[in-house]
Amino acid sequence: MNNIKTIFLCLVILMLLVSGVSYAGTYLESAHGNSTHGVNRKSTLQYATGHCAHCHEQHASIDGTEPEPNTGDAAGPDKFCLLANNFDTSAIPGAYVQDDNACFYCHYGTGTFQGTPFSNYSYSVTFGGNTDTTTATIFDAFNLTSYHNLKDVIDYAAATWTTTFTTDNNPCCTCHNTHLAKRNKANPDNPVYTAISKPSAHDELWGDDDTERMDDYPLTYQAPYYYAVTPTSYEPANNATSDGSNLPNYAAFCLDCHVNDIDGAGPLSAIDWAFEDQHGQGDATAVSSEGSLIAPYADASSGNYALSCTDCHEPHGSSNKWLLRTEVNAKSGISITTGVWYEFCTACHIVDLISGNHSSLNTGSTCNDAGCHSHGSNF
Amino acid sequence: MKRLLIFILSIFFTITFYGQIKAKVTGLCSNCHTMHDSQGGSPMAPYGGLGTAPFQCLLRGNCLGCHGQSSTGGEYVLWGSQKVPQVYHATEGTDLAAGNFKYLGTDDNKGHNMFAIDQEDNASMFPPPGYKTDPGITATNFSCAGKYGCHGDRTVTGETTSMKGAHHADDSIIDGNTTGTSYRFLKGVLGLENNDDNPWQNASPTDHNEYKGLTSPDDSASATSPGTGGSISGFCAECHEYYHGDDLDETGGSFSPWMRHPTDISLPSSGEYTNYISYSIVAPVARVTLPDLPSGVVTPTGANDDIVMCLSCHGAHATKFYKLMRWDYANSSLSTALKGCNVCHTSKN
Repeated sequence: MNNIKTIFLCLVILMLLVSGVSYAGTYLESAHGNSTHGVNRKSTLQYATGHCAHCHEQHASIDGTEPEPNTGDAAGPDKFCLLANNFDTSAIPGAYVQDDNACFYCHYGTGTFQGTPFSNYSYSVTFGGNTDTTTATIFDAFNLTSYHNLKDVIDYAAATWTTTFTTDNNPCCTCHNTHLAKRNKANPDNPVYTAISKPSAHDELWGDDDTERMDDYPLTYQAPYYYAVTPTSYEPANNATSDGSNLPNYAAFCLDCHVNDIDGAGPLSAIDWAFEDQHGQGDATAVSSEGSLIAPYADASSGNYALSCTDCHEPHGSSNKWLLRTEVNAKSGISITTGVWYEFCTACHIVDLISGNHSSLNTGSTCNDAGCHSHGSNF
Repeated sequence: MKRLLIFILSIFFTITFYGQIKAKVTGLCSNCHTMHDSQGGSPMAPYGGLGTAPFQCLLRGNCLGCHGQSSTGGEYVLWGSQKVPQVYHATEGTDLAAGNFKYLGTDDNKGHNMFAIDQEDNASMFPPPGYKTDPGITATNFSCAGKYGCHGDRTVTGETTSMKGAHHADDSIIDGNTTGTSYRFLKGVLGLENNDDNPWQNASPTDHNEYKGLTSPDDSASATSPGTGGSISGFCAECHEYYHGDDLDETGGSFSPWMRHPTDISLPSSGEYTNYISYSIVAPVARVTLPDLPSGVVTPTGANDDIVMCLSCHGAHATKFYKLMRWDYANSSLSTALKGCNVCHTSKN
């Protein structure tokens, strides 16, 4: 009799466990659904932090009036029942205004609709340790010198992943699943808290599984130094981990789009990170004498490393050209506004201006624009 | 053997249809009517509610007089063997499917603010939010039935006269053709009325009303008709049309992306919605084809028995929760607040 009871009890427990698995969701584990840090629109504070109603208006009306924002593109009901128009396709890239993107209503500085103002600093600050916090919001980042052109992003996604995206979607959703994305910035050492989803796999996070991190990328990954006057620790978490086991595989992530020629005759040609580029899996040993490496790359594996895109690039926007970071490998204050990249490249390389191929050049020579180095060409 | 089969079938059909015929009022005429409004030379004591005798149709009370008597009891009172549903009653936890107007006593945001129950100055709540054609309902004329209410013939102004004859109609077949043969006397609305062990209640996943739904908003709906489809959401749209219709500028048309939460639309047969397979009385669905008996099954195939409706989220009369929600949408606990959302949006918990 006791055996029957035990079996019955086990079955009940199993049923409950399986039931939980079947219906387990992830929104409440996301950054937006977090009950402490999640969405909390200042005009709908009657709802708990993280509540759907902060972003989605079921009727575009509470007590007969649409809660703010309710002017401009945000006036009236909006697609996906959002608080505002999802994205204004006529927005001027680099001169975006808050009303252009529903996400900007909260990811904004002064004037944010989030109940408690917050910051999203650049990658260089959050994961690189840079101390320049001038760019403090996502909105700010998209209005810098270089940026991901949001209309181009959603147009490309809608044309490429036709069953996932349409031009009605928000461009930010190409890289982020707003219901899944987590607070990586608060947990820089743990990519389980990744904020990204590959556009080709929008319904799952990227980087949360241990096969989706830079230490799983072919060749060896070596993290750059985390910023300090005398650096000793590594990105992204300012600790001793440097093998990429704590970093989402951004190479695979970015190549979801950039493995293809993005803009035809434009400058965004296909990136061959697997073979051609020496910063990727391409063989760099044959040319290492022309770009001698400095710490932490100057070691026995020199020439056999593959980088993460985020080692050099900001994801949203940068005051530099080509979304290049202003701090790389603990070298800060990098300003790249032309094809002269000397200050940038020397964050990791010793460029010999005395002998070799660079002997006729100087620090003001052009490296990139009309020069020698770019993705797919001595890079 | 043949006789035995007929006998068994007779019992089966008697049991099956027994519940369907109870909605028609039975019992003594004097339970409800008075011929002279006089008893022993004195006026009859009215049943309560607003207004004074004599009442129209020789009645002993108005709507709330009969259906709001249970100030200390539960969801129904007994007149002899006749159960009379109480839309306003004291006991919580045994509410009717539409809720309990008592909750308006603590918060005007919890229900439809009918003047007979809520005499505070709620002028700012009118006209009804989401209206396309102003129905003329105000804080001081909002009634149970008729032009300024929900039940009865909404082309008739008087609360009582709009319901004339409905309680005596044979409503064993709900066809929506008359007030008496409409679901819950909501003229034109179809549905399966739960009249068995827990009458007027959504008691369990297999013991509940069945609501009429459609796979797209009904173009024939108007300010006084739910449309030929007879859906419950079409009925709500008589006053709250912008929350239901298919206007491109207000609801995004009939296709995603919606601009307001859709109703009269079937659950998608993909993604998170496929997990809604057992009927939930927290967030119930409507049916295109009404079953003969309440069903506990939901099949998110985008076709028939999985229709999102206004009553998926809201109670019709009043609930204990903010904005007539079926669950505590404004609870400070996020998992509690999203309890009903997660019935359909199963990956958002």
